[in-house]
Amino acid sequence: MEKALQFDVIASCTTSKARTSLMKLPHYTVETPVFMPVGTKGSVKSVLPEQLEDMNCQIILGNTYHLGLRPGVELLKKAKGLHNFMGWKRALLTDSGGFQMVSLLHMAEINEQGVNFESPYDGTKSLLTPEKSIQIQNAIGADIIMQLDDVVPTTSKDNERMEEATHRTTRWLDRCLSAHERPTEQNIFPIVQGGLIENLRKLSANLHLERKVNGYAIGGLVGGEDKEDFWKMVILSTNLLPCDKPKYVMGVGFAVDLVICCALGADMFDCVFPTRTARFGCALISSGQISLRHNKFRMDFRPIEKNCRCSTCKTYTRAYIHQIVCTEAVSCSLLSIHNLHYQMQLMKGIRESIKVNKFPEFVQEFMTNIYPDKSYPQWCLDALQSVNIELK
Amino acid sequence: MEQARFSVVTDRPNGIPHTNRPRLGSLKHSNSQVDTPAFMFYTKCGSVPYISRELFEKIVPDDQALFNFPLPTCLSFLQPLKEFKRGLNSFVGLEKYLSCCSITDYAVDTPQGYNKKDCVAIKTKSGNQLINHEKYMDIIEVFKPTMYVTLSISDINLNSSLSSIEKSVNISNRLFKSCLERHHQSEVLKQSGVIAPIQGGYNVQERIRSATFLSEYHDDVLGFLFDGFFTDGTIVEEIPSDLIVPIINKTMEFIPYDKMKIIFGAWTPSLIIDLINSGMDMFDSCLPCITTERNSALIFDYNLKYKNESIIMDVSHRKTDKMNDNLNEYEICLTDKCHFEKFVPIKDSCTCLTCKKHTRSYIHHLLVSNELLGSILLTIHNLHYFNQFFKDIREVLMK
Ligand SMILES: [Zn+2]
Ligand SMILES: [Zn+2]
Repeated sequence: MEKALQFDVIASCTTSKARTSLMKLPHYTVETPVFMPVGTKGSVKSVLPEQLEDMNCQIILGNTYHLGLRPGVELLKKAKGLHNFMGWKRALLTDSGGFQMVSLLHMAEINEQGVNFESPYDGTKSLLTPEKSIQIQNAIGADIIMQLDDVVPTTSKDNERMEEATHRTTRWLDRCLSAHERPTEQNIFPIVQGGLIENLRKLSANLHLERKVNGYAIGGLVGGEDKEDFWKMVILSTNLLPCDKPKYVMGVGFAVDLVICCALGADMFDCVFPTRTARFGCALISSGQISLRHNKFRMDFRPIEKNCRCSTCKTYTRAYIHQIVCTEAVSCSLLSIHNLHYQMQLMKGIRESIKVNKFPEFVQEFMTNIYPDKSYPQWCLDALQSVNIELK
Repeated sequence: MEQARFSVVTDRPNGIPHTNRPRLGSLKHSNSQVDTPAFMFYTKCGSVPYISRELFEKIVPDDQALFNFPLPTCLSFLQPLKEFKRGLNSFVGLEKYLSCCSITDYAVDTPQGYNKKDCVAIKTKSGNQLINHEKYMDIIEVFKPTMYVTLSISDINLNSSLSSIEKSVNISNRLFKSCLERHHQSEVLKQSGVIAPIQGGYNVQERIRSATFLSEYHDDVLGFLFDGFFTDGTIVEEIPSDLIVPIINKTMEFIPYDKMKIIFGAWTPSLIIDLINSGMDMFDSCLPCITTERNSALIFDYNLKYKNESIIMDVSHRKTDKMNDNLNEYEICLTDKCHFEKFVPIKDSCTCLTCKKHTRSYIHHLLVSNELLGSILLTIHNLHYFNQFFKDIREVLMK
């Protein structure tokens, strides 16, 4: 039986835990570390699939919760899957739907069976079980699908609840794995949970290690926790998870977080941030970000970023985008394209530097651009130090 | 660089120019050429709605296009443009194309009035701005378009009284003269063509009066705009052919044959054919844009013939969907439930980016989910379809 995922590490940083790999999936061979833009409802907002390909985007994420409600499983089955439905030929990943429910709906209630929720469209009550989540994700047909996990807010102080959630997540993993109907075409990734409690994280990782899977996700982070806690949980998890499988830190999308997580040995990331911030008029640049709504750009006839090769920067100035930002729909496309291009280039820079064993230099240069006065946040210094990178 | 030039290229039977005939023409400016009958691409705030330059190049791959910039949507660019110095179409990222500035946004409902004496109220999003001819020509000198419509009072519609029509003709004529004088003094505008706006509402006598006056200056003019037929750009499709075509036919007799004839607004495809048969050369893309705004796609099947010196268009009538009966015969509405599981392109024969790749079902999903990509895909199809319609019109005239 052919595996639905083949993971080959091409090069590893000799200083830190960073590595670059090829992840062969049924629809595309993805170069990691990789950032996955989010296409919540079957489109990466205001960007055409061709444009995503042009910027070398290799895998995107769809949200099971949204897609299951609309257009719905039956339609996606008839359309022969999401790839076909949205005209995307490369790799896809879907989440389980659980996190979206818990974070979007006040009414969601979790018990051993699954997540009870009320449809926001017609108010009908439904239950999302691990089996149901996999069934929907099987219909969507993404290359990587996520187990349903029991999500507790990261910052929760209720340790008992956290422990219950950690164990339940593993029980649900087993139910997901047995419900999975397309193991040769789709990969279920378990999610390492445990909040910010070290022992629970270890337990969760170890329990999941016993299951036969092709990759792992590190979940339950990026929920407003302290950055010191965040990086410690990431490295604790990447240390426990096997080197020959991809490790996906869920919900990470800020440039600094991406670079540090790569240093800590993570391979995959997703976040709505680049496209969401674009809709609010923000552009990502090597020194951080700028809000083009600001009046100071009124007479700024430079591109968003000098030397950026995206189609937006090739044609448009900050001054023009300032005029249309947040009022004309086309400004969303222009900024989304620039921001996604920025993320893609950042990841490419990481990969290329690892290949020539210059990742620590890359990190230094990247951090200098963002913190020219060397006011590096302490957590960055600590995290990098833990993998032997000392910032100058 | 010289001004843009327009020439009629159709043979004149017996050497005599015929006013109310379809004709082929060409608009040239340095390396650019736009063959007519054609349309200007409607823009809002400097861009075709939903469409970046990158996407535009995918819709119209040959560099030949003319953009119309309605002043109400880009007046706020004036200050940065003064400093930018390279003109409006450069500022909005469309430097390699031809450009036209006009005074009204012909795709929206514009309230009438607020003009004062010889000052015209430009109705922008942030309120009305009164502009006299001096101020207007200052703006044009900064915008540096390939061509521009002179300042005029054009907020006339079917309900306008004779006295307001007369007033609009009087003021517009005066403004035209003042703008033209200023144009001749301007070094910068040596490269820009002047478009004279014919006013007169639905009154033939007033139309003739306007046309006769403006035609005296034909040597200074690149083209004539048939202006002042509506104030609500969203209901232009409801204006019946027999109300407007006779007026246009008659007015054509009073303006020189060899100038470019322009009309703006979302006229139906059938009326576009009527107007081309009257000798019209240039339109705009309000129709495809408004069609996108109502979540619809142009799909009409047409067959064009050239017979008795005019174009005849057969539109094969579709079986009207019950849910669709409020829509016209030219389009389908993609938010209709009937498209929910239609895994077919908007139009089978269409070669646009949208139809080559995406289904009605997907576009329906995007539109009902309020995803911007839905409107982007619709615009790509509608502009492509409209562009193809004009290509086919030119083709049939070439035979
Ligand atoms: Zn850029
Ligand atoms: Zn099409």
